[in-house]
Amino acid sequence: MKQIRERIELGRLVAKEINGTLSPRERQQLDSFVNESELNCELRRKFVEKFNEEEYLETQLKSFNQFNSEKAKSKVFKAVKRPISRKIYMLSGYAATIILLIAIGIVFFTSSDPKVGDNSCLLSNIGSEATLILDNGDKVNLNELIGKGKSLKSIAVNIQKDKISYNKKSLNIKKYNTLIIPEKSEYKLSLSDGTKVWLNPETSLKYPVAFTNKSRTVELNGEAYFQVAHNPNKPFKVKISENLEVEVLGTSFNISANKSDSNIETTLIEGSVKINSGSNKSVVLKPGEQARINKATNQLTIQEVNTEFYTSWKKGYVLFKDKRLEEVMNELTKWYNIKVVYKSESVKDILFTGNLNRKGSIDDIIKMFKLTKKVKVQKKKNTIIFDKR
Amino acid sequence: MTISEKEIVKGFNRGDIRSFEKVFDKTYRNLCYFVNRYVNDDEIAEDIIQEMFIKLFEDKKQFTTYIALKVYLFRSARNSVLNFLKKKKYETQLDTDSAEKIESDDSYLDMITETEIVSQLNQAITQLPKKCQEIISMCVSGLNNNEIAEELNVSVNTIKTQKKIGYKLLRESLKDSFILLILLF
Repeated sequence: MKQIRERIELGRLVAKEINGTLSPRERQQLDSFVNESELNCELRRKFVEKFNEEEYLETQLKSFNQFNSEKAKSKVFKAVKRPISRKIYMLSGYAATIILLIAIGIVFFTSSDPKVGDNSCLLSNIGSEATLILDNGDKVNLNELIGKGKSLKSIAVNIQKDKISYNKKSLNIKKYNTLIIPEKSEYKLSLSDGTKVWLNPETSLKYPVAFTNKSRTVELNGEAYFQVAHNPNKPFKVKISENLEVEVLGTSFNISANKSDSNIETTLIEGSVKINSGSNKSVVLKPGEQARINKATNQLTIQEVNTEFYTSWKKGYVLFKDKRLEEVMNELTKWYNIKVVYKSESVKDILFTGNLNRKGSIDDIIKMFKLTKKVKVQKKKNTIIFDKR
Repeated sequence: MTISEKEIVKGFNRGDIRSFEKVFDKTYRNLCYFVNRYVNDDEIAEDIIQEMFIKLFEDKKQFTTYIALKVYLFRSARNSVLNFLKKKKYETQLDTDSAEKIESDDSYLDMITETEIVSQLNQAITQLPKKCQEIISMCVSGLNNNEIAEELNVSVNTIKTQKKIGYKLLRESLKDSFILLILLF
């Protein structure tokens, strides 16, 4: 259907002509179309004239904007009967995650934390998509492998619906794998040393298939919860950037590397942790302490915090204390299909403390914001608009 | 992360959900608008297009280029509208007008062009100066001048002026060609 194609292209060119954004090449394309025939010339004139009418333009834009693809999407995707594969384009996503990495918060947990397999913190619409990059650069979509032998040749690994585990048999393989979790997805990982990791949306973790080096080092972008298997001879290290790593001797902890936060926060609940950051001296935290590194100035401060506050998120809550509105909302957009608009810049900096249920509806969350009386908030379709009071 | 159209088609052919989503995001409103121009009922238009997408994702169709996929979508949309209108005509003996309109090749090709123009100009709204953009966005999402004025805490006259400027800027080149005309004569 050459005609349809031509008309789609014509529409694009005419719009750009109306809009005044034709590139020289596009100008040439349009000219050659117009010069092809009387009819084409007439067509172009007709459309330009039509959309020159402000009233017509406005009516058509309104008609166009009454449709909302976000809302329709879930409906359509739910109705599709054939399983759709869940491969993602991880390379560009991976690069983006690295660049966008801004803040890391680390929380250590007591042993009474939920075991791997506990879904309590999942939103119902959270999926379990993940891509694995093998040592040779091959990308594997883990969802595609479920039910197909459940194993990858060359690595002793077990793949389940939302979980991948390496077993001891992998011990002699000196290779790195990278697990990449897209947005709105969660995944679990068991490393070959028995360490368990929960990976949150928009997270990637690079780790050796077998820990053959003196220390067990993994590289994190994003947010993950670790339950480190105790091994005093081999410290467990989480590398966050070239000059920042967190060293653990054996405990459970959570690292959140939220791209939008301005601070790197390390909070210790129990055990011992050392923060090795390039320009600052290494710091050993005591339980109940929080180290905060400002991403921009690289300044490190230590303060005592209520650790209770940093642990309950595993039960399905999004917790924040004196957090800027923008950071809170950036966190929420990971879990909800929402867009956020700020009517004024200053509104972004209002601090909030709260405990939001991730499983709750976004409307409940909006209600809570309203109750604080610190901001004006309203929801239009899937857009949430904040304004000063 | 921007995924090029080439990558979208590649992923689509592979059955990758992200690519399906991209195709959906990029075309859903266009197709609904297109269909709505014939059926004049936004809910029916959405139903038609949603059904079409469900079928598209279930069939394992392969496309060589993104534009080929888009052509296919428009053609399917047109067929769906034809079927719908035929059924309706049979049921109600009414609305022969729309059916005739879309049956004629020229009309539906014109409508495809208009759809693409509207979609492109709608995108251009995001390039407007901030204030203009805010007001035009609110306006095209269905708010009237009074509502926008109240929302933004400015006078109705300001809204009117900003809207004028916004719509003018959307048609930037016309302004230029008028200047050109003046210079020529």
